[in-house]
Amino acid sequence: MTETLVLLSLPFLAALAAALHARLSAPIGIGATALNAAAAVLIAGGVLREGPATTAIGGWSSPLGIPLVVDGLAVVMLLMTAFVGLGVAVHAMGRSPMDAGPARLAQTRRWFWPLWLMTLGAMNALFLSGDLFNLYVAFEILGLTAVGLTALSGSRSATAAAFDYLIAGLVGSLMVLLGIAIAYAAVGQVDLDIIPSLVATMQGRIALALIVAGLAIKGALFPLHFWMPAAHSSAVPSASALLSALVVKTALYVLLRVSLEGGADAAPLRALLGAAGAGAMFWGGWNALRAERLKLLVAHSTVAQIGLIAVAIGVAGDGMLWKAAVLLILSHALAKAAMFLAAGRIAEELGHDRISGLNREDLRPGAAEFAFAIAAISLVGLPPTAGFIGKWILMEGLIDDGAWLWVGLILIGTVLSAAYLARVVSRCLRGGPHVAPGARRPEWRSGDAAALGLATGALALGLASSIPVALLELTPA
Amino acid sequence: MTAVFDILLAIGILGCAAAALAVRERTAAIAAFMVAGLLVALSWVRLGAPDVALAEAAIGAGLTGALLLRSARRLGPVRPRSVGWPVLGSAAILSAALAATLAWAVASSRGISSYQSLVAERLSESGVTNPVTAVLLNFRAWDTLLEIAVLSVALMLVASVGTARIRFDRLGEMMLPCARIVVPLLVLVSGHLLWLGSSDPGGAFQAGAVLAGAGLVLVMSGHVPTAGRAVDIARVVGLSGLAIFVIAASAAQVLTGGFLQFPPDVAKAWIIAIEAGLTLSIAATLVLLFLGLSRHSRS
Repeated sequence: MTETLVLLSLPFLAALAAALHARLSAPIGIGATALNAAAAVLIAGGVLREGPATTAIGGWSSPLGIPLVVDGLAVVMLLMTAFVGLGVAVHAMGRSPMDAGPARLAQTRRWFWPLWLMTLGAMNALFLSGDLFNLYVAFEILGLTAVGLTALSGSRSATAAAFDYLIAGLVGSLMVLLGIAIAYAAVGQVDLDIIPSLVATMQGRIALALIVAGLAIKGALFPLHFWMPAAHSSAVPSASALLSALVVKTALYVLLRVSLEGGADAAPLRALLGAAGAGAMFWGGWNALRAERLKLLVAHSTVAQIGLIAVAIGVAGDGMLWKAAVLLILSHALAKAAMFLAAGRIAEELGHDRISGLNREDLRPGAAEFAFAIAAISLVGLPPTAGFIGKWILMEGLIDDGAWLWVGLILIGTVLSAAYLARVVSRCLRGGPHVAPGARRPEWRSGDAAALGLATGALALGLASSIPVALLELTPA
Repeated sequence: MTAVFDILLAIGILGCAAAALAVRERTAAIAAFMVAGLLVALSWVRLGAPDVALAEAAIGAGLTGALLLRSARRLGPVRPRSVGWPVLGSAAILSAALAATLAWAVASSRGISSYQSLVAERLSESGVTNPVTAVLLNFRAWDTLLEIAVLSVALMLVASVGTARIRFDRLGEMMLPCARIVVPLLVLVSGHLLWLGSSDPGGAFQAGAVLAGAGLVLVMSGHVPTAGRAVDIARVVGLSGLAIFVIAASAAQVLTGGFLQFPPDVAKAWIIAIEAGLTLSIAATLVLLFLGLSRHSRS
């Protein structure tokens, strides 16, 4: 239980300390993120040894109190958050100017840590929660910290994007809250165990529809993703990485939980997710193909990848295919964090992030370009990455079911993602005659280590995918 | 008689909401919003939820109104924007359909709450006798802790975005004599609400909002500096609420083995201590949100 205590309280306390001690905020931040990762590993070990467990917070058993559910799925998400967060923290600790002018830089560096640590605490709370209203409160924290992270650079475009994000997030929150209120009216309580009885009645389905619509806004699921590309592409790199890799996943996680708890009766919800996901794969892919700036391409690619994950949840039925969705979530978290950090480093070396200007003669490709390429391999889903394993399980299941339409759609989505990522990789990894003999190499920064580490993690997770799969076995469905 | 009152109340809320949306002048729109907030507070009284009514009046109508007025001054006049009839029409149809669906869902629900009987049954174990406080500070204290985290994040957000500090115009001759009477009274009311919360409607949120009102009066009367040490202290107090709550939750785990599981015999003392800390923290947070926290003016 000590691990849970650390996960639930340490990030908040560290965030407060970092907010009050400007000079110590980076050591506090990195220390707390590392301790949090250790606690996540310990709790995962506990679940592997002893199986899933539910405890009642404050000793008040559900439905009076709030249940804390430590199962395989929750633990996998905790591990993802802890390690992607650790990678991004290493990047943020470095000397990278984080895209900000010198006057703004101090402010950006000062507030990154408190906002990230509050995000971490809220995500830990969210993944462990077994109660709809409690999930809503965790989303409230996340909604505000995400807006703060978006606005960190202080630029006019980032502030405008952050404001749109705030409004979209509030609309999403209100819909979730309204849905919870109607669920309460329909069945009289708000813990997650009520979902089977919600899908059985019309009032409950209306409540779930509102909750799902709110989550779709928060998770940037097509066609409710309108706020996201601007927000993710105008933030500083470490903030973009956290938002794109982790924060949008919280909504997908809750959608997956709702689908799992709903069982066979939640089929209309899954059909909706599948359709929206298919739309997202094409719309995001098409916009990524047309994007002129690197960060915007990466942000539109998130729209497409979220679509793929939604399709995976959607076609999973009440069988075991949902594990593919979780592997895709993990792989996207690692790869997209690496990609945003690498894109930030590339833009920093070049002085701009126009895709047409990526191949310069006087600059050799460096570690950031290499990290971007590995992350791209994982996003497209080539072996041996985690993206490949996820897609493989998904395709195998679909072929067994004879769902050829979905197989075709996913293949087209994959080709699209290969095409738009090739726009970047083909330019920035080009060597040979295109690079002048005296071209300089980019300097090595700790941000490169973070991007490389996360990208390698996406690669290695493919080889070690038995660990998350073993953990996911320990999820009572 | 009460039915007439309720109908008038409902019409009043809708009318004020419509006025807040339709009026071009920002100050008038905010005034309409604040009146709507007070009427909503009244409707909570009619619905038998005095705790929510107090919070709505203090925070929803009072402090939110103050924050809006503060921002409106910096925004300048409303620029009229024309929206086409097709857009308005389709929005109206969609809203009406959604409203009808929601109304049906609520009206046709059984409306049986699992909580009322459970709370009544276990109230004696919670340490307090006001069921709302029992739920907020004991049965579902984890929700409340996270809500306090939301307040802390709001404070961090305002500081990180760098909202410019507010400057007050000189207020009239009557400000100081008025403050001399109002501030001590508000402090007393706040303390009363805090203490009352364990047995009757009241508690940390309401007490904190009232105390914040006293703080705003002090600040506006020019008796408290709006920069330097005073603000630094207010910042520490503002963020201390979450720290107190998290430390209490962890200390409870050390003592009883359960996160947020207060020792049953002295649960009331724990709850009052946490609420006292929260009251100060909420008050400081609300005053700071109003003042703005930036050290540097925005470029």
